[in-house]
Amino acid sequence: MKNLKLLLYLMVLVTLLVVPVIGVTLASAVEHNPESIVRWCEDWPTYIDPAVGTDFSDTMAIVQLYDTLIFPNLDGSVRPHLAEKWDISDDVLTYTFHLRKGVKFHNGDELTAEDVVFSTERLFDIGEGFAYILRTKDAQGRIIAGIESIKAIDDYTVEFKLARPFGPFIPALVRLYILNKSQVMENINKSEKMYGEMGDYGKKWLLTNDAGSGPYKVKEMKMEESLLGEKFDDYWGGWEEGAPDFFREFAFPGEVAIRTLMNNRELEITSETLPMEAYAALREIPGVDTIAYLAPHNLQIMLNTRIPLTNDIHVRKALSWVMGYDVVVNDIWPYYVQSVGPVPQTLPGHSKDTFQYSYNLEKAKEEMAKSAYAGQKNIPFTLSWCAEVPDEEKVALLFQVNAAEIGIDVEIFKKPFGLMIDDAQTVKTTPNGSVVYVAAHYNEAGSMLETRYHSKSQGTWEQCEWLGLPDIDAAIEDALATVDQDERFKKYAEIQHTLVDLAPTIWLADQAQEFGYQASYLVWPLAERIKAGEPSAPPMGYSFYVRDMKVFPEKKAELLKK
Amino acid sequence: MRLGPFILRRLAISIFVLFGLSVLIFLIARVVPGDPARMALGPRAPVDVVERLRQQMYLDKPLLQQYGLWLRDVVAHGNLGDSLLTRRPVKQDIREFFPATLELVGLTAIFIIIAGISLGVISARYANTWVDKVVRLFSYLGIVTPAFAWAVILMLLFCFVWHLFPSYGRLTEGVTPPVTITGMYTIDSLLNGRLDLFWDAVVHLILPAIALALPPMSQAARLTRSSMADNQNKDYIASMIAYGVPNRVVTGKYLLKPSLISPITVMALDIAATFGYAFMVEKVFGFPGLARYGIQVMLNKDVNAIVGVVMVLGVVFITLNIVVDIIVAYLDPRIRLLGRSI
Repeated sequence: MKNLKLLLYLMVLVTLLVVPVIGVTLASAVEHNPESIVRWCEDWPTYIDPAVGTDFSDTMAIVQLYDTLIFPNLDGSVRPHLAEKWDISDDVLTYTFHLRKGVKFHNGDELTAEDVVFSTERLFDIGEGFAYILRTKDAQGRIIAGIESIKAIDDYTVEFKLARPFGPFIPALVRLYILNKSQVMENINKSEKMYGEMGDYGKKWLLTNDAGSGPYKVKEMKMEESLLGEKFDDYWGGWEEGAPDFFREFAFPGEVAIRTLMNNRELEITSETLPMEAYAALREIPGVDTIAYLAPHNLQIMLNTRIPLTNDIHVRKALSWVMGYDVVVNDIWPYYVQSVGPVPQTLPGHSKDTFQYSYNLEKAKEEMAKSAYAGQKNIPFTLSWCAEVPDEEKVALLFQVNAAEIGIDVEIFKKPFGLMIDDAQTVKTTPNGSVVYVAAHYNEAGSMLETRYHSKSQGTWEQCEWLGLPDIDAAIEDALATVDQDERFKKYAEIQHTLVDLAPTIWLADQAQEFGYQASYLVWPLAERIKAGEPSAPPMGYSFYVRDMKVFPEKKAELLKK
Repeated sequence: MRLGPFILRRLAISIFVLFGLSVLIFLIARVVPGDPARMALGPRAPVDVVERLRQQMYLDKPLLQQYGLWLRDVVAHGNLGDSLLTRRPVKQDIREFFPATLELVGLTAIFIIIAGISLGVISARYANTWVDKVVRLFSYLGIVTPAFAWAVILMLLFCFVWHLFPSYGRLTEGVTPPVTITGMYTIDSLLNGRLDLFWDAVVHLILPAIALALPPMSQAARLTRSSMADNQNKDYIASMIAYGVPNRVVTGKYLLKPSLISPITVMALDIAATFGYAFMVEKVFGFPGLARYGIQVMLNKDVNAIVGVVMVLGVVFITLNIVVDIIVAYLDPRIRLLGRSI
């Protein structure tokens, strides 16, 4: 009996020791991921339907899978892409694009003008995604700006008619992605009636598939975790040696996992949302480096100009003078730079000679003394910050301390972004101050000025100032209708100067985005540019254009051996 | 009372419980501030597009009518509506996310039960010795440290420093999952005859399961120990010892069984709760499970998905409660014979 028990104990011990070893051995024998791959992580889920996606993670994926008529360079300029050239009518209302011949979609069909027409109409019929950039309707549904109509003149010529002149029309076309009409139509779900005879317009199918002509195609899209794209060998633009065979975008797992994945060479580029100390830790990993560049986004405190206290221009100016900008850009976010006016400095059309506020308590007190509220106490001042960006709390607290120096007691509210969107819908519910990041919709100052200060954006989170000034509206509309770029930029500059005089906003800082990446085996054009000190202003998503990257698996293998 | 009628009665009561839960969560999801259609489409979508989505989701109708339409779709078509987050049916999301969390919680449960009870027994057997003190220290550490903190510690040690375990996902990157039968990679790979995939899936589960298991396991150890300590002084135990029954038989057969009633009840509740609070561990390990999905849909006010997730968790709780009652009745014959809780 004793021997039997001993035997039993021995068997259990051997099983507990041997089985895991066998298991791990077997597990490591499964087929592994391809080596020529670039991987990054972002917010999830990601929408790869170009008529739906608008976020950073969406555009990072869409730019790999689809082509556009024009293509943005890293310095913010544009070049021909699917369109080889274009003509503009004298009244600048008609744009005729001549398409490149022989461009193939991923399923082998040729891209023609009909696909461009379909993609545009689909974008507007669905009304989501970047449709708002290319067409504006009034409350009655009439088209008042942007693309009024589109038609195919022949297989390789497509004509756009605009409702009124729109100077940034060409740069804005980076957001018109071209889909394969016949492939989408084959996959329309007609049992859904949301778009009439178009059924669901292929939206369900396009959640996990693509109908593009871009350099990469969808190999596997798991809605719950990741997108794997593989190289499209017949891409019309061809391939350079070393371009990755695959890319993978997956759900952001958290800081510790990112550090682990970078250390184990299972991730090539981190997300931009890590805390500062995480980037410092990443630089300690051999072969890993970080880059930081100014994005066309800025962090602002939007001041509600219709409610006490902030309806007084002197109070707004006082707050602009008392704000601790240095703390924001030196302590909270060391890579950020103080904003110069309402337009981020990397955005084409930014005016360099715009006045910039700085901390000056005396001037702040002078302005307060001029205000209608001078000497009054207990007037409520509410400030909201976005719960999804924890570091904004530091800004809110800093503002509270600074405002107290001029006798303003600030009550701080932490709010989920969804609630901030709700609050922004009426004047009364919009707080005195809202701490918000804002990004340009397309790569030009006009985008920022229009969405931030034109009265049509009142009632949205993008304009908590409730400015509603007809002069500003007219100036913005006039600038956007100016086709000549130099002329247009001059007009942008005047608007920026006027806005700074009105001080409806405290423009805190232009956001710098920092990324960690595997510098030892990944050549990333954006990183090369930043290290060379060249200005970089790619539209959202294009900084991750995989086709222009190069990866060296043999160098990675060497690192893994160490 | 017999088992069959007991289960039927509990199931009948469960229907009312689930109905009440559905009403409660349906209302809460819709009255919490925030326009779900606007949040889903983004602040730049035109008003007519937002209105179209609101109509599609019946959000333009009175609350009671919305519930009626929802209930009709669930009962008649098994349709929980579409998720605003993933843009596909909630049913499909749950079908994909739930098995992932189920197999994670399954392994967690195994760790909780085996390790929790074993540690409690060891602690009771060697009460007031250094062994007891070590187990107690370990238990306190386990109880006070939240699961996500354990997740980070385990990842740093076993993935970052020692490279022993994977740090992300359900399978090694690039590995094709097994053909879906249950949705659980471990079970499906065995059913597909793929032992290599089975172990790959298990290896990805170990660290998150340990992280989730440590707090309830520690609690179970403490409960088992104190329960056994209470029963240790009972007369029937003294009788067994006086009769010369070996110590290990007394411990294993006469002391352990009645001492397991409260630990098992608590463990079952802990295991059910794990479905909900696993989201942080799932996030740390990039595990695409129901808990992580649940938090995302709640933060995005994805009304249909919120109701779907909560209903699934409700069913899990109810099922586990029934299972616990059956186990407790088995452990304590008095309950079974006298029909006390049955």
